[in-house]
Amino acid sequence: MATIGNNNLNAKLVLLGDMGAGKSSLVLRFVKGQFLEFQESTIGAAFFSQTLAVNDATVKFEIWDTAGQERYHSLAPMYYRGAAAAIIVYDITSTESFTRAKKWVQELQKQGNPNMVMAFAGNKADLEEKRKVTAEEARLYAEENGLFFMETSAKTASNVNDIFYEIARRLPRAQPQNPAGMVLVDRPADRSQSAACCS
Amino acid sequence: MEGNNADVSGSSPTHFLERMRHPSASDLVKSIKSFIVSLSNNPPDPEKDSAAFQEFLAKMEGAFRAHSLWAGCSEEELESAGEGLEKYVITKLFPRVFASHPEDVERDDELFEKMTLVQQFIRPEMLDIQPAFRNESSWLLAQKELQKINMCKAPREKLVCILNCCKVINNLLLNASITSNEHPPGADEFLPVLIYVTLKVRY
Repeated sequence: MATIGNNNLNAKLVLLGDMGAGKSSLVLRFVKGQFLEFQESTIGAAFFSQTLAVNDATVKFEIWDTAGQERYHSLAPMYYRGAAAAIIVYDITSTESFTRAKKWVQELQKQGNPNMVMAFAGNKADLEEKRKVTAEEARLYAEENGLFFMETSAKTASNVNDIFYEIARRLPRAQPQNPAGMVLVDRPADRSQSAACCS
Repeated sequence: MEGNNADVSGSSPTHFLERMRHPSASDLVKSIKSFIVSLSNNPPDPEKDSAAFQEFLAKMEGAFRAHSLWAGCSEEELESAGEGLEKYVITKLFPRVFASHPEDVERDDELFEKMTLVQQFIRPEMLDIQPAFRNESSWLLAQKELQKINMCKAPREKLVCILNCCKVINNLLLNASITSNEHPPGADEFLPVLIYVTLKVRY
């Protein structure tokens, strides 16, 4: 849920889509500006945050990457619960991933937050010669379902920042306050771990 | 890797106890002791106890804020005082609040039994962990971080054990992706390993 304080918005954003569609690569490209890079982050592979300035406000995205394997489908509601925005990702070279993406949209429409901003991303747009899903088909589907659609490439960075900016622009400006969770501050450990933990 | 691990306690709990020894803290000490006694006098009720504890923490945070001992202190110091208090109280109440309710104990036992069974046959491939990212011996490091959870009493410290386990997994996956020239790991790689490690730990 997006929460507002002055002109600062906190928004939980979840990425959904088939395994290998490029969810994690999109996030990495957006957060780190790199397609491939050795990096260290707070919880690493599954959780990032990034702040964007849009018009009169700053939007801090808390980005939750999800596992795309079918066997982990049942965990998804835990991820999209309370999300202000979702990016549903498919791979333009895989019709199967497009079918899965449409199922994700249906699930969110049924069970997600009705104010959720939904983006539909056809990733791997750089692989034109292997394309299986036309942009027209996806655009039509997105329009019919009230999503906004972009073809992206985490590899070339095409449209990656744009899709996050567009989400930030579309976020409702006032949302009810979310109960705050526990904040674990990353402090430099100046003692050995076991001593710090159990002394 | 150790150096990068989150450490919630830092110097705060000792610092907190030192402050509590100051003569002007006697009223605070009295409230803390009376809370511990009052909770211990009632039969355990996880829901009620948790609500009472949260309420007490909030009340005490207000009291710290208004107290001369914390006059001119930063938000961070006040927060660490709150952490110190939580750790102190939970340590005192530990035998009562953790696994004291028969229903909790039963649920724990059932889960433990199930996990012991799963432990015996689970293989990385069953969880869709890709071959390039399979390295059971290195996951022992992550298991070690998670195992510490039983030695910690405060909820925050328990969470830090989980966080550290996640960090170790993330670093191992990153290293594996670099050596095998794979794409950088995302949730597709991370979640199955976290589940595998959680199942394999001997608690």
